[in-house]
Amino acid sequence: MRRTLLLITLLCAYSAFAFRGVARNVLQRGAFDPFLPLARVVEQRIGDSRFAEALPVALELQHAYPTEPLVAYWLARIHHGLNDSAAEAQAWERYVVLSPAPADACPAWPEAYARLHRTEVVSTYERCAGFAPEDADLLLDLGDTYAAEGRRDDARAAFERAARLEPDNPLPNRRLAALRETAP
Amino acid sequence: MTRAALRLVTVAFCTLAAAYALLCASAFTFHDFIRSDMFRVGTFAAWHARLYWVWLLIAVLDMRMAVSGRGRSPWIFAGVWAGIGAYLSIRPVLPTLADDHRSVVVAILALVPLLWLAAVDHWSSAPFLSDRRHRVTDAAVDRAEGRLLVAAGGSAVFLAVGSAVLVPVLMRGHFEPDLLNAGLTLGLLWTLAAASVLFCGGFLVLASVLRIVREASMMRQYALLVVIATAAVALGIDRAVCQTLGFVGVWRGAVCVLAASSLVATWGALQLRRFSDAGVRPSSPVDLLFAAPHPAASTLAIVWPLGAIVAAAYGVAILTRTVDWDFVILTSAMTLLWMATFIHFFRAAPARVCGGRALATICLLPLALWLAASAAEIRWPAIRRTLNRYTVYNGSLRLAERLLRRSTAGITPFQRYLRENTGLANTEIEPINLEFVSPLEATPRRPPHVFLFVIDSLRPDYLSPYNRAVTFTPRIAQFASESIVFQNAMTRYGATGLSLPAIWSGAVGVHRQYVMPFSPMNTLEKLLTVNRYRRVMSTDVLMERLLMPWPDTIELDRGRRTLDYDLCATLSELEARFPGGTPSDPPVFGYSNPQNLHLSNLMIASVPEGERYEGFHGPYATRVHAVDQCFGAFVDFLKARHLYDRSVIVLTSDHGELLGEEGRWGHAYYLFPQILQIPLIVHTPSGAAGDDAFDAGALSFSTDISPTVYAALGYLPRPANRLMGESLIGPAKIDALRRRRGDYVVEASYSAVYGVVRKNGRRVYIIDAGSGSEYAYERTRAEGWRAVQVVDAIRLPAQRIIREHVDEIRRVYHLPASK
Repeated sequence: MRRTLLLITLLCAYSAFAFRGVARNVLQRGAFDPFLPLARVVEQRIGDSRFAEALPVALELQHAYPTEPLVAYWLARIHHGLNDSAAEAQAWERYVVLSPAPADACPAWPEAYARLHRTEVVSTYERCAGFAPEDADLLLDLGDTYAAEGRRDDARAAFERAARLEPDNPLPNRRLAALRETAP
Repeated sequence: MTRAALRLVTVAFCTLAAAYALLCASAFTFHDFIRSDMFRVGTFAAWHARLYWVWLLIAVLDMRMAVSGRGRSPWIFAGVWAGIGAYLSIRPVLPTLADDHRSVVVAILALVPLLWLAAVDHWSSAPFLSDRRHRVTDAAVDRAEGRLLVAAGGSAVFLAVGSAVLVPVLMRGHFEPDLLNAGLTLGLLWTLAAASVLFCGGFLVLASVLRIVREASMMRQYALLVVIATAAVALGIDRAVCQTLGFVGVWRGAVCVLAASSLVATWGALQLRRFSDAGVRPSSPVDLLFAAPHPAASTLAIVWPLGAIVAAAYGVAILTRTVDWDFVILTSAMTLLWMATFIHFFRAAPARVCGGRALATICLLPLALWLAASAAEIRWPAIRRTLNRYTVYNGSLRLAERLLRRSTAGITPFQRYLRENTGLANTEIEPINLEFVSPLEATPRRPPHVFLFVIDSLRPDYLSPYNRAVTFTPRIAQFASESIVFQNAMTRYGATGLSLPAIWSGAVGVHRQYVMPFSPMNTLEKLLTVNRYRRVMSTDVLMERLLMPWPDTIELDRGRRTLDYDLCATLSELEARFPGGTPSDPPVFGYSNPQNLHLSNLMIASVPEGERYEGFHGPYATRVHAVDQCFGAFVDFLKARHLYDRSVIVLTSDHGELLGEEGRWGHAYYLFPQILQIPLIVHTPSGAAGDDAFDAGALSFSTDISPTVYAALGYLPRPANRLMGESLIGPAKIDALRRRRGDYVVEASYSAVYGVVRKNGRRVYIIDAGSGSEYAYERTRAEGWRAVQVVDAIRLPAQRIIREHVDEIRRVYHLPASK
C-alpha cells in the first residue's frame, strides 16, 4: 500500500509540473473569460467601420480591463474613425504607457495631434523615434516634422540617420535632396 | 516464424492502404504527393484492388492458424472482406480518394482487419491468459517494477548519450560556434533531462497501474496495459504524424486511436502467441508486452542491438538531411528507436527490487533537472539558441521536445482561434468577383506577349541578381540587367497549394482548397481572355482545376506528371510550337510551373563531375544553373524572333525553400524567411514600366504580379480591397512608402501557420497554431536573417494584425463571423 501511494504521489508530481500545460488547457476551456468574446466584437466592428457601435463595448472593456493595451489601441482606432482627434490622441497616450510595443502608436499618435494643430506634434514624433531608434520610417517622419517647423539642421540629421540605417532606401536621400533644393 | 511472416504481410498491406488514404486526406499531401504521383504512389492505388485478393488469402490463412483450424471466425472474416473485395473489384476506392473526410474513413476501415485479426488472436489465447497458474504475485510485481525502472533509466541514459555521441559526427564540416564543449555538454544534459522525464513518467504510469490492479486477473491487467500503451502510441502518432499532415478535430483523434490500437493489438497478439507457443508463463502483464519468452543469454546478444540502434539513429539523421517534411520521418523513426531501446533494456534488465527512498530519488531527480532546465532557459534566453542548433543534429532531443513542448505549454486561445479559421473545408463559400479594372475591355493597343514562369521552390539567394556570391546564373543576370529586379519580393503563401492561385487571382484568398468556381476571382485569366491571348502553357494538376477551358490552347508537357515538369523541356517545346509571331497573330501567353527544384526532385539530384558550388547546397545549385541556361536560351529565342522587346517576361517562384537551415527541409508546413522570399524579375516592353523610378527595395508580393501585367498592357489597375495586390510599375504603381511601412500577413497553404511581415520585410513573426511554436526573425544587411526571442512587444501587435487580417478575409469573402 505504501509503495502504491508513493508511486501515485510521484506520478501526481510529474503530472502537475511536467504536464501543467494540459491542465491549463482544460481549465481554460472550462473557465469563462468575458474579455475574449467582447474583444472579438470590438475588432469585428472596427473592421466593419462600425465605430459608433464599437465604442460602448470598448469603453466597457476599458472599465473592466484598465491596463489592457489592446483596449487603448481599439479606442484610438475608434476615435479616429469617429474623427475625434482629441480622444484619439488621449487613447494613444494611454497605449504608449501600457503597451510593450509603444512604437505601434506611431505615426497615428502624432498625426492626431497634427490634426488638432497642437504643439505636441514635434515632441510626440521625437518620442516615437525614441521608442524605436533603429526605425528609419519614424526618423523620416521626425525629419519631415522638423522641416515643416523650419528646423532644417534637425531635419537633415534625422534624414541622414535614416539613410545610414537603411542605405537601400531611396526616401531619405530624396528628403535630403528636397531639403537642399529648398535651402534659403 | 510462418505466422509472423504472414502477419507481417497483412500488416504491411493494411498499413500501406491506410497510409495512402491518410495522404489523400491531408490537403498538402493530396496535392503534392497523390495528384502529382510523387514516388509513384499512384501505382499502389491502381493495384490495390488486385493485390487485395492475395492479401485476403494470406489473412484468412493467418487467422486459420490462429484458431488452429477450428471455429467459424476465419470464414466470417473471409466472407465480410471478400464482399468488400468484390466491391473494390468493381469500383476501386483508393484511386477515387480526395482531400476530404471520406479518405479518413477509408484509412480507418483499412486498419479494421488488423484489429479483427488481433482480436481473434487474443480470443484464441484467452485460455492461456486466464489460466489460474498465471496469477500475478506481489513478488512478480516487485520484479516487474524493478525491471521497468532499470529499462526506463537505462533507455534515457543510453539514448541521451548515444545521440550526443552522434552530434559531433553529424556536425562535421559545419561551422557551429554555439556547439563547442559547453554547448555540447548543455545539449547532452538537456537531452538527458528531457528523455528522463519522459521515460520516468512512463515508468510511473505503468508501475502505478501494476500496483493498483495487482489483485486483478492477468487478463484484466494485460487489457489495462494495452489501453495505456495504445494511449501512449496514439500520442506519439499525433505529435509525429497528424500534426504534420494538418489533421484537426475529431478525425485527428480517430486516426490516432485506430492506428495506435491496430499497432498495439497486433504487437500484443504476436507476443501472446510467442509465449503460448513456447509454453512460458509470463510472471506479469508487462512481460507479455515487452519481454521475450526466453531472455538473451550472452553479453553479445545484449550489446549488439544497442550498436544497431545507434547506427540506425545515424542513418535516420543522414536520410532526413536530404528530405523530410516537418521532421515527420525523423520523429517517427526516433519514436520506433526509442520503443526498441526500451524493450531491449527491459528484456536485458535484471529483476531487482528498488527501495522506496531510492525510487523517490531516482524519479524526482529527472523532474528536478527538467524544472531547473526550464527555469534556466527563462533566465538565460541564449540557452535556447544553443539548443536550437543542437537539436539540428540530435533527433532524440527533437523528439523529446516535440513530445514535451505541447504538454507543458498547452494551446493558447489565439492558437485555437487560428485553427478554427483555417482550412474551412466544411464552410459554404461562394466565389466573389475580383477586378483590377472595371469594366475590363480589350486594350486598344496591341498587347505584348506575356510569359510567366513560376519556378517552384526557387530561392532568390541562388540567383546572382540577388546574391553577388552566386556565379552560376549568368543568363539570368543578363536578363535582370534588362529588366526590373524587385529585390524584396515575398510570397503570400508558403506552398504551391494557395500561392499559385494567389498569383493568378492577384489576391489573398480564403484559406481553403478551393472556392469554386475560381474563374470570377482569376484576374489574370480575365485579362488574357478579354485580350484574346493564345495560351501556350503547361497545365499542372492544380491549375487544371482552376482554369476555364480555352479553345486553341497549346498544352505543353502533355502526358507528363506535374512533378516531372522540367523548364528546359518545357521551353524547348514552347519554342518548337510557338504560334505565329507575326503582327497579325494573337498575342501569346506562355506559362509554366517547372518542378526542377522541388524537394522531391532534389532527392535524386547530384552535382555533376567538374561542378562546384562552395557555400551552396550543391544539388540545388546545379539545378538552378541548368534552369539558368535554359531560360537564357529562351531569351535568345525571343530576341532572334524580335519578340523580346514586345514581351512581358516574369521570372518568379511561388515560394522559397528550406535547404537544411536549422535542420529543416521543404516548405509545406513552415513559414520561415527562406520560404517567404522569392525572386521577382520583370521585363517589360520599352516604356511600359513608366518613367518614375520604382523603389525596388520596397516590399513586393506574388499577388502584385497580376496587376503588374495589367499595367504592362497599359491598364490602370486598382485593387478593390486590401487583400488584392498592386501594380509594381506604371502610373498606378504602389505607393512605396506605404508598402515599406505596412504590415502584411502571410500564411502556410496547408496548416494553421501564420506570419506577419513588418518593417519592409525586415521583421517576421511566425506562429504555428498546430505545434504551438512561435518564431521571430530580423534581417540585417550584415548578418542576413537571425532568430530573435519572441517577447510581448513582438507577439501582441503581430497577433492583433493577424486577427485583423482574418476579419478582412471574412468581410471581403462574406464568410460567417469568426469566433
